[in-house]
Amino acid sequence: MVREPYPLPQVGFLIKLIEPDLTVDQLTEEIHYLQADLRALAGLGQTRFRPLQSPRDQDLVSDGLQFEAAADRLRPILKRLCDRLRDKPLETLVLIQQGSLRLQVQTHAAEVLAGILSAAEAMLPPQTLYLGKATLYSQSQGELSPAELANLDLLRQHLGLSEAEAEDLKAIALGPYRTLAEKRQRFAQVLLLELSSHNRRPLPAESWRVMEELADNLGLPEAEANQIYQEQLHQIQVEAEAIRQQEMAVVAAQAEAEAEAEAARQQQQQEREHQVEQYRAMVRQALATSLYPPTFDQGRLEQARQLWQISPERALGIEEVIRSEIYGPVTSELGVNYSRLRQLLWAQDWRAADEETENAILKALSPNRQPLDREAIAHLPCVDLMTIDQLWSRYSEGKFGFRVQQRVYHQIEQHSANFLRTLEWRGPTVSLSLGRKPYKRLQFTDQAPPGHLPTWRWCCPSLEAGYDLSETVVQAIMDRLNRCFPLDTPQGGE
Amino acid sequence: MVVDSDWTRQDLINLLDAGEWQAADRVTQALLLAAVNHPPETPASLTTLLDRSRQGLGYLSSSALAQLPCDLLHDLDYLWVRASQGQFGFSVQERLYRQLNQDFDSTQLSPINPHPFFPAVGWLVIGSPRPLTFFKFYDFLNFSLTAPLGHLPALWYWQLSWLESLRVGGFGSGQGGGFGDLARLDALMLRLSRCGQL
Repeated sequence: MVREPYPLPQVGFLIKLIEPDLTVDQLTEEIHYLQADLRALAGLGQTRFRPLQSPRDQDLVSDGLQFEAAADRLRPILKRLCDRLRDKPLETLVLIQQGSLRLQVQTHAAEVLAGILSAAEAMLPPQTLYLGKATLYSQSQGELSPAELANLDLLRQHLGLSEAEAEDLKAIALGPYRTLAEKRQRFAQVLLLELSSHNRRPLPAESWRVMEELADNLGLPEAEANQIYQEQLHQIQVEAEAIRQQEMAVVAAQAEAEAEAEAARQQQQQEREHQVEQYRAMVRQALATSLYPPTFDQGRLEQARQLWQISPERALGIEEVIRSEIYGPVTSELGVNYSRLRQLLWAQDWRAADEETENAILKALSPNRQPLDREAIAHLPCVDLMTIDQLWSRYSEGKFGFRVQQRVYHQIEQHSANFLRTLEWRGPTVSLSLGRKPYKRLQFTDQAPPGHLPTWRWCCPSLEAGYDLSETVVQAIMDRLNRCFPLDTPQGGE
Repeated sequence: MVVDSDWTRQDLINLLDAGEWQAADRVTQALLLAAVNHPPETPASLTTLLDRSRQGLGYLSSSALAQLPCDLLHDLDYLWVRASQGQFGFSVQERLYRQLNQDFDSTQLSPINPHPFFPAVGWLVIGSPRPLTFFKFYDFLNFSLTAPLGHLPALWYWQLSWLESLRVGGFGSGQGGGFGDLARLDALMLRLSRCGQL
């Protein structure tokens, strides 16, 4: 059943401070507070207050307010004014107009003002009074209690209103939402919308003020409104928390999945490393007895390589590293490959190893394979000398190598001819050949004296007529060795 | 002996094709000397300068032989071997030398015990009942294909400075009349083997 809204009559108010003792500033302040006070009353939030201005000291001063309010607001407004006068008895003019009736009072006493309350109410049409009462009741609880209903019924009879009329007025007082539950529901509904438009966060102060106004308009008591608001907030928090936990669960699940994948990867990696390690062990085993694995071992290695999916390049790299571990490194600054030298030394083929030493050095330093002169000797790279020395030394158990020769040279006090004789590169001088030995008469065995090998044939133009070295060459090579391998004792001799 | 350094590779090819073995030998020597006297690019050091001043005398010392450019040796050898159908050439000499050198003890080298390479290539004066141990004069070498294997080229070995000639027992006539010097022979042979590794 739809009821026509009952138009609530408007009441005009004019309030003017006429206290003579007030200064202009005080007056302005009082008016300001008065307006704020009135605006704070329920149902007056949207009221337009028009300032009244009076001439004083040739200036216009605000000393009053003029506004209109719904008839049912009459009582709260007058009550508020009474309270103010009780606080601060200022001489005040109050004018109330309803239709053609006017009620004017000028006083500074609250009691006087309170006294006109019933007179003012009497001024209102009975509908207005009834409505005011009903509104008052409805706002206290949000709905009408049985006692209130009884009171209203008495009032209706007193005012001579028909029951239908009274029902209409009650409907207006209660608004479209008649019961507290409906108001709550409506308020909650709007609040929910409002909250959604604020991303489900607590409302900013201004929005909440509008909501309060709504509660007021609905006739929902402020406490109720607040409770609903808190409930909603709580609900939102609970929901947000639930969502957050759900999200966290998802994230945790993802993290767990990733951790698992990572663990699997690591395990795979470990497995892979283990396989490579196994392969290394196999290579080490295969290389233990021979510099280059025999065919049988090669076959086994190849099978293992394919089984464990190790690339041929990697396999070769592993083999080379392990070969270097076991048989000594073959690093070169000149890009010379010393593996053949290593192989020959490993096979204890001293003569071939000596020839390979020349081959390597000449290949590196002398593009045209010319024997090295003093200048070329000075350019022998230390890395290569070191590699050659270490290979010779390693496979002769320290008997051969450049550093052994260097030590001998310093032991015999750097005498070139004595050096050649000590190494037995030259025989006794008394012989027919002046002690010169042909290269092939040198001792390519491990019985040779220390430092006998490697020879320096890479400096010689000829070998068969006599492996011979000039003092210049001996000195040049020793200078180079001293530079590459600084001696522990500067004196050299022991 | 006149050595003209203006000889070219084409001259050598022409002479070899014409069977002018002696003239070809001279041109070969001229080309070798030109290579060591005017090396294309050799770092100048004291030793190389000394060598060059010695080489300037017009013969190939051990150290000069040890530095001969490999590509030149390979090229000359190729021309000789091709023209003589494998009878002459440095590589022929080197192969012989390597075989003969294996069992030869060079400490026993003496004027009466020459390196077996020399009689093998027919460079020694033929005596009776056994070969003498000194060298033929250059003009008496056999400049024909009937000569022993590796007989030519020979001037690289024959041509010596006056002083060197005296040292080996000649009389300023190069190697002719003197005894064999193993150092120079070995120097070229070693050079060839080093070049062979290129």
